[in-house]
Amino acid sequence: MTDIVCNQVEKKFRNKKALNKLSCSIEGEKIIGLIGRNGAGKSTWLKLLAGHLKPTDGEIHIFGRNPFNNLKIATNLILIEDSMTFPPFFNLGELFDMASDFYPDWQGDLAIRLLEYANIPLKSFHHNLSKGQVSTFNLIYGLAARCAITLLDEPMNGMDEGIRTDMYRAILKEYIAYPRTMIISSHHLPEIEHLLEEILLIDDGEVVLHVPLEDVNQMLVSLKGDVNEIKEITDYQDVLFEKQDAVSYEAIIERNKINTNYQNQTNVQMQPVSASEVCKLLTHKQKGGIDDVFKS
Amino acid sequence: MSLNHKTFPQVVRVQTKWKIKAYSQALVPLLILQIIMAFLTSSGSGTTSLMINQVTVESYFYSVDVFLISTCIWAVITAFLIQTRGYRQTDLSAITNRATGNTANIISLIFFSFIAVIVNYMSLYILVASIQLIKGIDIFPNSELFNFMQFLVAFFIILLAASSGYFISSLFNLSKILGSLFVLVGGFLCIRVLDEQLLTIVKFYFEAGYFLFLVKALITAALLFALPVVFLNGKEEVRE
Amino acid sequence: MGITNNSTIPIYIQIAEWIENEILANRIQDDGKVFSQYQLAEMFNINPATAGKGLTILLENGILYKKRGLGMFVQEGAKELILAKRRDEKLSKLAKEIVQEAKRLFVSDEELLDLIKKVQKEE
Repeated sequence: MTDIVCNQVEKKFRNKKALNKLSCSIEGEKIIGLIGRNGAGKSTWLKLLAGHLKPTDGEIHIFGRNPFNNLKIATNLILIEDSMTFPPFFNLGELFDMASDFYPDWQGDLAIRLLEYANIPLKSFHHNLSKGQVSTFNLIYGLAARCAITLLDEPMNGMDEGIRTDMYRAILKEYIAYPRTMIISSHHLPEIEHLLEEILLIDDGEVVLHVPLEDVNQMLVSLKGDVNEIKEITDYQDVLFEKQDAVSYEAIIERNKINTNYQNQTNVQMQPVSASEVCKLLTHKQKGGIDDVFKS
Repeated sequence: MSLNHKTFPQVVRVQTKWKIKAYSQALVPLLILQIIMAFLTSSGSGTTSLMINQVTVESYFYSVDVFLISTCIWAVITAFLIQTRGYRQTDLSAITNRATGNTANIISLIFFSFIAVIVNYMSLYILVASIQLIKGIDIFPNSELFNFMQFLVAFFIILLAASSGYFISSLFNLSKILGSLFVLVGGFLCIRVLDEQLLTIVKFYFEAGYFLFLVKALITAALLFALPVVFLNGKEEVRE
Repeated sequence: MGITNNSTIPIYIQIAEWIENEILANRIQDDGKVFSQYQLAEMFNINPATAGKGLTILLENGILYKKRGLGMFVQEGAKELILAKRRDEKLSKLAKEIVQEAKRLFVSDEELLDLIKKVQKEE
């Protein structure tokens, strides 16, 4: 049973096309990292999944239904983002009371304890909180709701180092206690990697990659050494990245494109490429990185 | 991972409960307004003066009308505000869809309109009582102190005001241009051009007696409330 | 407990190796129950599926067996299996390195074998 299916989804705003024939399918309970550059379309896609926006073309099916304006989906899905607002007349404790009335699986005790841990008074008002506190509250709210589909759009924005680690742990513990489909969008893959089962990489409104985390880690290799030797190892194929500096030449290419026979005989250093680098390279426009801009 | 199921009525009920809790804060301005109006208009909603043989009798009439206008203004504004983007977006942080959100807003407005009529009557009684006590003037009740029909009429007048505010706010929601056009053109027409037509409209409502007024008002209010539920149903709602 | 993100070894393999170490150190006996993927996830602060992959590898290699509904248990003789496997791996790795280094230093195959025999006699 595929829970979330997107089929050639397009979303056009007045002056730009945020999503361009985006297709993907997500099945079962897991934590997925939604990775992409600024403006890649992550937030737009999440809003479409939540049913806040309608696609201009293509289809989205969640549990077999169109999520737009759909009560059944709204009952089982929650989208946590920076810009979310709450009725201004209620303090945080009252907001929790309200949530317990709406969400059948609401974990009130946990929410209160987490808020206490984060040193945020129950009697404060949402609009008086600092940016980091807002993110913390929003995240606690989203986790405590225990919705079958939980979407977190850059949930750690503004949180300081300490509370961030704690909140990642809280996400993991809540997930273990009650597994659900979680999509967490982030810029900081290294921070979040340990939590993820799959990575969904978006660039220019399209899905570039949707694979298990281990696959991403193993996908590319970096070769350092003599330029000619490296060219032979790679069979002169196109590389994703190359750099020639004073000391040596470096190239990054897909692991399966290497001619393994040459490997052992040369002085070329082969190293794995981290998932975060992989994502960066796959969404990069220029082969040489930012140094290219400074050339000439 | 089993899915939860909430029906339309269930969601509307919870939303209405919390909206009423939240917007109760809007009632406070009403009360303050009432009290102020009471003091400003202690001369009542009408006066007559009769002079016979050097004896002058001045009569002042007091009725709910005194507060009705200010209450209607309050109703229009409150209904308008409830439908604005800021408040509607807060719905998104819990379970909602366009229809439940709108319906919950409408029920809340009906509830507040009802409270408003009661407050009006209370204020009238307090005003009359305080005048009797403070100024020592005798008050003669013209009819029974509480007329159910009058109560209903007042309630429906306020309801009409609320539904109008709600409708206009919804137009703005649908399209800012459309809303502004409606208000500007409508306002202009009412003030300058359509004097006669306005008179006809007012006559239509109030001519044929209380009961028919109730019916006409009910239908109008129902329409003004229901239309936005329909035309806003397909609209996107995003938090900016 | 030392699972790092920075290592070149994938996390699920690190988990598998950690469990193997626990078995070697007799902290988990034959037919003893191994931590579940959720317990491992909580202990090491990783995704349960990743931990699960580590367990699956051990299952495939015959080090663990599964009891339906109860979890994963250590296979009898797992300790010996692990030792054998590691011996092979480590030695093959070292052997590879020696052969490569010998090639780089222009040492012939016979010279290399003589060298090894000499060292064996000494030890």
